[in-house]
Amino acid sequence: MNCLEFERLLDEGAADRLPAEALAHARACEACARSLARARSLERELETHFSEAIAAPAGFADRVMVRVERGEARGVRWLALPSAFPWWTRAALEPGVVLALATLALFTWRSDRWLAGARAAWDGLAAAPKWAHDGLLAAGFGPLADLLSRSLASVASASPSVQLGLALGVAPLLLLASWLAWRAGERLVGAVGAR
Amino acid sequence: MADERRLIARAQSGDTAAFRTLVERHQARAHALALRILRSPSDAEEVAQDAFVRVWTALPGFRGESTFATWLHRIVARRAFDRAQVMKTRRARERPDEGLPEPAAPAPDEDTLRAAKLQELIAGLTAAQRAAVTLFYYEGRSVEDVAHVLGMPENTVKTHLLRARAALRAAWTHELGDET
Repeated sequence: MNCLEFERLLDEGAADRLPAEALAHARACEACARSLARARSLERELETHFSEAIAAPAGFADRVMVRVERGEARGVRWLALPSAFPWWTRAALEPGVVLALATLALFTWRSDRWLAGARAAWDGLAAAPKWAHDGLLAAGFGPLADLLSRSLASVASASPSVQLGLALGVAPLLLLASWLAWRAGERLVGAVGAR
Repeated sequence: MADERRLIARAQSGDTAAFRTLVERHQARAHALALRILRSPSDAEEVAQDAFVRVWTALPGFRGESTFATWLHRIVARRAFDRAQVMKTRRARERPDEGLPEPAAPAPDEDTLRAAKLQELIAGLTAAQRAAVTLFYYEGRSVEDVAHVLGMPENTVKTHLLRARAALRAAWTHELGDET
């Protein structure tokens, strides 16, 4: 162990639980031994500093209760009460349900446009292999273009069991992406809830 | 503990007297946590009060997944940390003596001087470093807990703690090194 590694250990807060190698270094190095003594003194001082009790200001609880009893957040609190709404109202207020209902409403309202859009998107998607093929040919990747179009053609004309196998292969990736999105949503809700 | 659970249940159903008892039990630590992060008594009181009002609002949804104290301190720390960030420039213009209450003893002995010096060094840390150090030492929390409370990745908390210790050690050595 060298002096830099020793200093790093001290910065990590390990002054009172140094490994044997570090202790041996401190015994051999006068500068590090001094650093260790000062780091331990600082840790002790920090512990003392943070163990000192600080009383709340006089009348603090009274001032909190004035705000509570004034009903600063009465409406919001009532909404959080389990008895505020029947269960089916709460279920309908879940973000996922709200999103699904909003999507359904939008779809019903503008179903003709949505269907036309979906048809155009599907046509575009169906033409994508041809575009990719043409693009690769134009860029001088003829063999790669042939390989791509043969693969896509073979998938399209493959038996349902092969297509199912491919779908099952992709499914875990989709599930992982969905789970990550779910966790991100949970963290967001948790962060907002703690405020 | 069972007594506290009963108080929480009563407060959840709207009993303000039970909530008052909870406030009285937890006010000192909640206020001290805010004060140690913010170092401004007026801001600390405001943040601690806001946190208790927030607790009252959110109490019906509290399911006891963590202890009441942990939940409360998480709300206090988050709010204090946010306030520290927002007030950074304003606090720079404040009078330097508007910090933690001065020690009661008028004659400064060696211990008092060392404590005052440490207080000054901690005040020189960034708000994030101070929040991490406060939760780590004052609350005795693990790095994982500190990260959860402050809503930061664990590695960020480790970096804040490491840099805070490095800064404190350097200043401590410079100021008091010869006496240790």
